[in-house]
Amino acid sequence: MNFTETSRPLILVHKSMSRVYNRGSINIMLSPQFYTMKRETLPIKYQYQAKRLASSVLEALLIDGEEYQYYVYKDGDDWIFVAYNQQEILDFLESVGFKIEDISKLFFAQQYLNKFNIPLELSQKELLSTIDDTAVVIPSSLIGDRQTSKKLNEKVNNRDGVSFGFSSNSFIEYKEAIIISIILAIFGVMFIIEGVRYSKTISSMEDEVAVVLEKYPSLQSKYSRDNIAKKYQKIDTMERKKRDILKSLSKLILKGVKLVDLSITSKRFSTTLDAPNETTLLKIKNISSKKGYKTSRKDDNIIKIEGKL
Amino acid sequence: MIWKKYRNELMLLVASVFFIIGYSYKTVQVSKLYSTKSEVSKSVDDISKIIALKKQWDGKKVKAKVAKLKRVVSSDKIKSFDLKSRKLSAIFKDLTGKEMNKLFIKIENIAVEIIMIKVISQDGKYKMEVKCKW
Repeated sequence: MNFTETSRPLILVHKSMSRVYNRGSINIMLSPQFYTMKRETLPIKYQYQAKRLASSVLEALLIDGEEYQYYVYKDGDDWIFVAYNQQEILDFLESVGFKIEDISKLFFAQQYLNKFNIPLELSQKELLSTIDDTAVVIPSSLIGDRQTSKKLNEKVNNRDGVSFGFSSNSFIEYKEAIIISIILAIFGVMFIIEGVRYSKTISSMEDEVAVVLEKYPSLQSKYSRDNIAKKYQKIDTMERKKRDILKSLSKLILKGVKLVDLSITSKRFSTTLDAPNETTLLKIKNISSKKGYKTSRKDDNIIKIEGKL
Repeated sequence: MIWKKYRNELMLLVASVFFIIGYSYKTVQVSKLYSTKSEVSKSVDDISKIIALKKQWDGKKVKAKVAKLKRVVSSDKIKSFDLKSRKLSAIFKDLTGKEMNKLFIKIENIAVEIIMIKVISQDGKYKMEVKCKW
């Protein structure tokens, strides 16, 4: 199977053609009546360089003020420059019943000279033939009894065609559309690959937690984790507080101060101290007040300090 | 056919949709990664915290440490020392200030829940009642 060959029907477009009816997607081949061509031997290597020169090469052959499109290809050592008026072609195609959106590619008769080695009948009066390596439309009377052909060989190479029909309605050129689409698709694929990578990282992170949780089955649910944390957090806070209070109460036992009693439970604490003198007692009272403890004087030098946990 | 007329645009549209889907998928995965990261880090923090707290307040060696309180003062100063299951109920008597302090420091340094500590001064000596659990 040759992938470069197109399976679409090829229709030769010429001025004396009869009306056509909708046939689906097609390629068209223009007779020389719709284009102007020139063969030049130029020291140019690349097609894009030749295309830049196309307007100046064909300038003398074209009508001033008309808008032309150019197509350039290499034929042996020569460059073939072709100019065509797209609007004129479109108008003609529509006038003979073509649906522009059905046209896929445009070919020039000049590209396939071998198809016209045996002159092809266009009408009773005209033939398409090759003369001096150029496709030309000639009057039928010129060839006399020579053999002619009535059917066009439709085999063409897709690569040789110019995007035409639907591209003419598009806001963007076919090639540009292809390039941008490929770039967008590449980025899309990259994003998806990146996303998959992130997804794998997420799974491995979740697996790591699962491994840790396997060691501690009781901590597997967040609810039970929260409950256990709450329980121990409460104990931790409360017990630290009790120990802090015991430490701060011990600091109240200044020089000469005697501990009368001390009590600490889960809810409250109290201590009674016997101070040696008024000054020490006031000092104890002062320190206790600063800590927010409630103080009450019991006797001359006896002070009770209490508070809630 | 209209799709043929706008084939180039259609091609771009399909590629753009693919691009957007790819980008959205990546964005969703990135945000999921961040949320999972923070969830995992929180879970690991929680677990470590719980394990540390559990180890501290639910330690298996607490009972042995509590039992050592018996050795802080001489046995004649221990009126009662009831160590059952995960609870201690003890009464110390005739303690000097130094001995009482020693007991306080020991109890403070053992990870037990203090239910009650009562100290009463009696003729220059101290009576100390301790109730705790773990």
